[in-house]
Amino acid sequence: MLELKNINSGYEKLQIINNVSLAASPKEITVIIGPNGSGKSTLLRTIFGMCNVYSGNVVYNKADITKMQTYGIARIGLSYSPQNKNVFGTLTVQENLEMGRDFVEGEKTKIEEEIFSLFPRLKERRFSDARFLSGGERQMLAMARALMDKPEFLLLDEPSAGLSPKIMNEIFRKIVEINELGTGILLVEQNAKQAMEIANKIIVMENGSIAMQGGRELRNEKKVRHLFFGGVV
Amino acid sequence: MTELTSFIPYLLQVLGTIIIFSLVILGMNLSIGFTGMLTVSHIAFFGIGAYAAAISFKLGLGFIEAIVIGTIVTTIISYILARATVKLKSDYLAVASLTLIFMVQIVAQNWDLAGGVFGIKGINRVKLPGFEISPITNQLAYVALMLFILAIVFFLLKKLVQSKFGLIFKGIRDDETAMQSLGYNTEKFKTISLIISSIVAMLGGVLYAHFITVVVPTLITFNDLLLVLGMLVIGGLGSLEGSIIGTIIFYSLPEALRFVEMPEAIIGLARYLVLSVILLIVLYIRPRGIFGKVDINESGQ
Amino acid sequence: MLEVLPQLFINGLITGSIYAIIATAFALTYSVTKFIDFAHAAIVLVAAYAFFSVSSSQFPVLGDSLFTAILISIFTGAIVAVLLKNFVYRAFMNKKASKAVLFIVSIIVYFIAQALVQLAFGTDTKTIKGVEILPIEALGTVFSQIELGIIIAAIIFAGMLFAILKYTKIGKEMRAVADNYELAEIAGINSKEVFLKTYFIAGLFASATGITLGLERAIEPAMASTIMLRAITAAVIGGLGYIPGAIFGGYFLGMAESIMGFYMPSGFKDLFAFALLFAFLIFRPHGIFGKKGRV
Repeated sequence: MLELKNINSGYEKLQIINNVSLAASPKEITVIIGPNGSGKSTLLRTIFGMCNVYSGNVVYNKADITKMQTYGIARIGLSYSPQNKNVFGTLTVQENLEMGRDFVEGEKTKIEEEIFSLFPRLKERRFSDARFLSGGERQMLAMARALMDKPEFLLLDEPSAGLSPKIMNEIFRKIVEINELGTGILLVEQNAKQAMEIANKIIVMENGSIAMQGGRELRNEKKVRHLFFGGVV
Repeated sequence: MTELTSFIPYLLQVLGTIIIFSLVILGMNLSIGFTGMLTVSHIAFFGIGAYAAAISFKLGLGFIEAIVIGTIVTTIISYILARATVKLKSDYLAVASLTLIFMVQIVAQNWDLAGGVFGIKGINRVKLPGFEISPITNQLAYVALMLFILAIVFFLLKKLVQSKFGLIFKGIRDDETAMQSLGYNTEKFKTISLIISSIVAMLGGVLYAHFITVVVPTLITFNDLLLVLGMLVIGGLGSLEGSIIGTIIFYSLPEALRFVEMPEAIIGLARYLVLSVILLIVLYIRPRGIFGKVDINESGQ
Repeated sequence: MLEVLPQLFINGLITGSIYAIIATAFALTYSVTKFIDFAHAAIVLVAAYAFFSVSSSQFPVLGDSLFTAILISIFTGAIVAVLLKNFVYRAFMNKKASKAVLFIVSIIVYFIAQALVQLAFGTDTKTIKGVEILPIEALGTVFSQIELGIIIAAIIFAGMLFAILKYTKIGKEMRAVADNYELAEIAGINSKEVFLKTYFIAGLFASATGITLGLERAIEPAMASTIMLRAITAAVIGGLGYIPGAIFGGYFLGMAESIMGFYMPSGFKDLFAFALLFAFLIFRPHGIFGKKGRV
């Protein structure tokens, strides 16, 4: 269980997140939507120890990880794929996947097989430098890298950004597949419509706080539809 | 009574040195403290000024001519330096400026007109239109002249940083991208800042040549960078007054040490080490210096 | 006239090897920490003087073997480099010091090192005694076994570094941190540890430079600053932070200096190196191999 309790955070002295509390279950897809600047990305970064937390706690499986270092958080069962610069461009696909994880020899090949069956396109490009990948392939690599650790939770920041509708669909299908295979998803998305379609839980953010949260029934809420009329629908 | 009469020349000596270095620090402060450009080239331009004065003297030219020659050379070189590096990351200017120091020294060492390794001696006349000052026999008059020049430069710089130019410089220092999006040609302004500050430092060199009357290639080297940085940081970035006060403090402390009995060489090195450590501590604790208004961590990228 | 070319070539190879090693150290730390670290020059000094002390000391085991002296000096230098990173740079990095400040700090560190060696050893030039120089003649050129050793050392060092970077875990982590520091942390890499290991390796290289300079030239307090400028020049020529580029830059500079040195007075050899740096900064700041967008 990943919980945020009354989090107030930001960068240096600039506060972005105002008193946010939420809980995400490792079996579900929890989706965070909201207009630009609502603090969605900052929330993920806060969880991963990359922001100043002024008050509140980040609790993961009953352990308080608020003060933990980023690289430590990556090793306890949480993985994060940021929005931009989410792959190591000068490393090959294979090397990207190997990052940040100590593998026992046999274990590594097994995990690789699983990942490559999930992302067959990456297997074809296995020894190419990541900077030569297309946008969609890069997003997949970013997710694949985050999954190599077999995390309990995968935090995704706008994986569909800048992609064509066809690739976007593929990405969302993959996310559902990953969740079905046992990984909890915390998804931040600009593409509210498609995100809500795959969500078990929906959280709507505005100006750094939570405007509303609930289950799939939120999709039909007038206010939610109103918030996104004219956005990416 | 004799102690007093030998004390005054000593005092004038120290005062003169402080004035000279103040000019260099003021120049550095304009580039580094006000515009946020990391450069150590002012030492090189100090050297260029000194040699411009020395060579002018050798050729029989006067004080004003020396300044003009120095200004022309400085403008050309600093323009090239600026053009080459303003578009790039701050690292590049830092490296290029460091290189310039070595280059000036090498040119001075190998140029016959500059006296090669031995330099030029006997620069003992300040030839102004209408009259002459001899810095050796009339130290007071020359120091007065230096003070006068410092005052004018300080006044002009003060006007500059308080003007629109100053605001633009500081804007570039604080957030260059923002300034660009506001429509300012930041490269042009950085170039202007560098040229002006280099000229100020050059003036220090011209004054130096006549003050010490000898100019040699080793007069200002990479090693003096430490002293100069120390004065700049302690006085504070972004504060003109701080530059002068910082120079006074930094220069008078070691002078006070002179009265302690120790072999000269050890004093020199000990002074160096103490200065280094002090500088590190100041940079760590109070990057703002004593009077400065900007954190050095914010200036430069 | 043409008879001198082979000798010039060999000389260029020797000088180039020395430059390549120090340029690599510099490019390595730059690629990972992204600031211009002048303090490699301090490591060069430390290793050179350690080498001098050990090889001229009276202790029977230490003083006799050149090999032991080299080994001790290299590790001393590398350890100093790590200590430097761990205590000085880390302190400033924790305070979120800008690259400009770190550059200044590195210069100060160098000055401290220079003053310390001057205090301890004096300003006179020292040479390594007891090293027999065996001339080797080949293909119309003459060089010593030491110089051959330097060239071989450069090749071995370069080879080892490439192997480390390409095949070992720490090598890949260094590349990851160099590529994207934040993402490396997100991926679970302890970047502070990576920095320390990087500095250890770079320290080995810088120490090796100090030793080769001690054997090939002479040891005196000012020996390191000009070689540092050469290192930076070589790294810029090859593209700042790009290690193969730095190696190329080192040899390029070495060759160019060797040829220039034949036709011009020695002072201008230095001027040439710096003028070259300037030229690159103006026309091709990303170096020969760097990518255009990178600056």
